[in-house]
Order: sequence, then C-alpha cells, then structure tokens
Amino acid sequence: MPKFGNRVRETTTSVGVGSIDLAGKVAGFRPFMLEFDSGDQVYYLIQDDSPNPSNYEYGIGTITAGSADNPDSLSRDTVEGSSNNDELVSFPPGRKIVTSTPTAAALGGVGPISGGIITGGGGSGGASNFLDLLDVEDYSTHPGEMVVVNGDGDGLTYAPIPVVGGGGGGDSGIAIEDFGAVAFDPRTTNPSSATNSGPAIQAALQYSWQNLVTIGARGSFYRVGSPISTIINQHTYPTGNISAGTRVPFGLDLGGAHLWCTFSTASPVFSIGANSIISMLRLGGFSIRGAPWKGIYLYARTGAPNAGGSFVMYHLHDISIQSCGHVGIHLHGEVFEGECSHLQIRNTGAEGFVLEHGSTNVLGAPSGNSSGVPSSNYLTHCNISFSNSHGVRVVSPAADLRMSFIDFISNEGAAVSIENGNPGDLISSCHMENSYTGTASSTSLGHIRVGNAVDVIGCRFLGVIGGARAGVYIPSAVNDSVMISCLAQQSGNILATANGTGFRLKMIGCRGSTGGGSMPRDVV
Amino acid sequence: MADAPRIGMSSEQRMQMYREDLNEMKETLGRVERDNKTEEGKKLAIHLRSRIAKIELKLIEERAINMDSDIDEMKKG
Repeated sequence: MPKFGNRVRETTTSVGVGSIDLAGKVAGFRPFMLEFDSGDQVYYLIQDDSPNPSNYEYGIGTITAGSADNPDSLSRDTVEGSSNNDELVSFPPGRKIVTSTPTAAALGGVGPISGGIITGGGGSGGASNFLDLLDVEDYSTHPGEMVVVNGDGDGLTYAPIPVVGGGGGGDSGIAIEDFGAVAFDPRTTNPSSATNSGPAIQAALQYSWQNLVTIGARGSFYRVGSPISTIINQHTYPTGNISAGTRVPFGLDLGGAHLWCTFSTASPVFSIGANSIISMLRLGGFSIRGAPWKGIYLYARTGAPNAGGSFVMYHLHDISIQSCGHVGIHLHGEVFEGECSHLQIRNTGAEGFVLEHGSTNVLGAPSGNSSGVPSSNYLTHCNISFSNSHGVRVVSPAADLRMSFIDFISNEGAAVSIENGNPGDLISSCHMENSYTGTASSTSLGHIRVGNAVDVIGCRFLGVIGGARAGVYIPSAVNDSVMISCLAQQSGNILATANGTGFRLKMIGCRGSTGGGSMPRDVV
Repeated sequence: MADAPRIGMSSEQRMQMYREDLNEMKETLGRVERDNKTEEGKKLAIHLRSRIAKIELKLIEERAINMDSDIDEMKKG
C-alpha cells in the first residue's frame, strides 16, 4: 500500500506532465526523503502555490532519491483526480507545492458527492464502505429508521430512530409520504385521478402505534380513495425496556393536510377500534371533505385481549369536517379521560358529534361490538353547525361530558341533546343559535335538551326555530341540575319542561329577553 | 317561516353557505350513485338525497324570508 507521512511538504518548479523534481522542504515541514525510502510508493498532492490554486493533481507516485547532481524526484504513476479531468496535469512554470497526503479512496472508499447524497463505494482500496448514509430509497423502505451498523456494502442494519418526547407535528420526522402517500394540487390535478393515499395513511397509523411515533405530512392535499381502518392493540408492540401499553404519544398529526374523500361506501373515513387499553392516541391537524358516511369513528371493542378495549387520554384536535353523510365524530364505548378540541364540524348528515354508550349501537356503528360507558370527556373550542340532527348528542348512559366554548349554529335538532340518565355533564360558555327544534310535537324543543345532573353555566341562546321554543328543554323530571347566568333571546322561555315540573333544579341569575322571552320561575 | 328568528350571519352569508353545502353533498351523492351499486349504496344515496332536500329547503326558506320576488318567480316557474 502506498505510504503517506505527517507534515511532509516540498516545493517544485517542474513543468509539463513528467516526473517532478523536489526542490526542498517548505519552511516548517519535512522533506519526502526524510520520511520515505527511495522507491517507495506514496500518496501525493501537487498544486499551484496560490491561495486559489487552479492547477492541482493527486494520486500515487514513486519517490526516487537524488544524487549530488540531481534532486530527489517524484514520478506521477496513478492520477486519482486533477484539474485536468482527472488526467495528468501539464503544470505551467512557477512554484508548486507537493504534499504527502492520503486520498479519500485511501481512507476507505468514500466516493464523490452527487445530488447532495453521499454514496458509498468506488475506492480502489476500499473493499467496504466505512460510511453510508440513508438515501431517499433507504428511507422510503425503512421509514423511521436509521443505519446503526454498516455491513460490507451488501447489506445494512436498521433500527428505529429514537423518539424523545414524542408527539406534535410528526416530531419523529416521519411523514405519511414515507408510506406511499402522494400529495396533489387540486388546482392542476383532478382529485379523482390523484394517487389514493388512503392505504398509505392507514399504514402510517398502524406504524405509529406499533413504533410509538407520531407521524406528520409534508404536503397539503391527499386523496382518500378508500376508508382508513385499523384496530389498535397497544399491548402487542415490542416492549424491551418499557412495559406493554406504556403511555407514549402516537398517531397522526398532519399539520393542516386536506383529506379529499372519493370513496363511496358507507364507511367512516377513520375507523379506529381499541383492542386493548389505548392511551395517548393523537389524531388531528387535518380537514375531511366529501366523506359519504362518518368522519371519525373511535370504538372500544368487546372481547379484546384485555377484557374490553378502551381509549384513554386520547386527543382529537384541529380537525375540520365538512359535508359528510353521517355523524361527524362518533365516540363509542369506553372512551374516557380524553379531549376533543378545536373542531370545526359542519353540514353533517346526522349529528355533528356523538358520545354513545357501548352497548347501544343506535347510530349505525359498522362494527357493532363496542362496549363500556364513556366518561370524563372534554369537548372544547369547537364550532358545530348545520348538522342534520343535534349538534352534540350524548346517548344514555354516557356520563361526564364537559363542553365549553362551543358555537352551535343552525343545527336541525337541539344544539346539545343529553339523554336522561347522563349524570355530571357540564355545559359552559357556549353560544347556541338558531337551533331548529322541529314541531311542537317534537321531543326536542330547546337549544339544550337535558337529562339528569346537567350544569349549564354562562350560555347564550339565540332563536329557536319551530316548536315551543326554549333555551333549555327538559323532557322529563330532572334531578340535581343547575343553570347559572344564562341568557335567552328570541328563544321564548329560557326554560321549558314537558310536564311543567322539574325536580331539584336551580336557576340562578338567568334571563330571557327579546321576542317574548321570559324567565318562568325558579324551580327548586 | 316568516317569524323564524335569524340572528348572527347575514342572509346572504347563510345562503352562500347553503349553496356550498349543497354542491359538496351533490358531489358526494353523484359519486355514490355512480360507484356504489350495492344495496348499501342505494340506502346511502337515499340518505344523502334526504339531506340535500333539507338543504335545498333551507335555501328556499332563506329566500322566502328575504326575497319575496324570488318566491313569486318560483311560484310562476
């Protein structure tokens, strides 16, 4: 193998393409013949003695010791690179610097940089690569992984990129594109001819819970030509140093992507079943357009490995659903201690948002095997409007739905319908406008239709179309509810009951005004 | 209809929203009718047509309240 030495540098004034004479060491350096023996092959670099050398050449040469009449010399045997298209350089007159230095190939075969990607191989002396970075192809076939052990160039070993902190905007660096999703521009591409990204999004969602990562998106518009459906069993992922079901955020956080639906079956766009105790599912950052059926359906499953699946500590956030054929968002079964926030749900073919007891299945759930009772769910900072039924429906006996800062506009049923037997619900700081509550014979005659133990605080009711009109309608005897600081305008009475009685209901500081609204009485 | 309270958005804004809703629902209905010939598809199409009819009714109601001349024209038509 050719040699190289430390701090070996000389000058030359030789011209042309032949051997060069070594004219003595550069001050502070050492001469070649002090480091090498005559006849040694060495790595060399020759370049103009200039801050910006225009002539350079590097490769392998042979040192020959001089004599009394002749200086030491260097033959230029193999040129690896040069300013003359990697051929011998015909050096012009002038001083040049000759340095002993290994070439890149001598260090293992790092090849040229091309297209911003360092590629391996190519060195004459390199039987294997000492460095190999993931290129685009590697990343698409090994999303979320990095090379941890380099082999002999024939194969690479991958391991998941460690996720620290997790959650939020695809912090893992993985995007649905890595699973085959392709964004399109609806201004120039007919959505129906765009790539169907549904399978890729489904694969990304499955990957997310199996690998404990949150996955993002790099584009804006994606065609969903087939429903996205998965059943999560969080207790089956590899455990290693963590216990099964460890609470690590996972899911899709698509950063404002638009999901343009083109399928035509009565299936939810997202149908996610819990086959175990699922914690910290994050799903959001997207809008859904043109869904023929439900937008999002989360359901806990019976017969799951852990004696009943459930969603806990989930977060549905920053989701816009417009013009879907059925319920906008449907949570079914044991879904608890989670939050839905910053939702915009408009023009749904059924309710805007439904929280339903697992065994009821009254709303056309496709699986029909949900179980358990939802509780302690939060719904906040939302706009739910123009639904074909109630804005929010809590199907008995779900409990503890806390709603705040929600705008309900022009829903065909009540803004909020809480069926009897749902204790502990709270509605605060909501605006309810133009709920269409049907005819006088309808059972939904107010913006809010309440069951038991519902607290309504600081809400404003504007206009109820049809029926007897009321801010709050109580279809039957109600237990232990309170209504504080509410205002009804053009809604008729702020309170109406089916049989004229309430049971342990307190109204404090409420007022009906404008359009005949009046406060009927305190009901205690 | 005439005594129905209307608060918040202007009538024009509401009608614009209804038109957009209508277009999107009709687009979805067209896709279902074209691509899903199963019994499920037929039921879904009926459901969507019902929804579309309601939106159209709302659009008409809005006009009835605010555009008497339109009502006259519709009656003639």
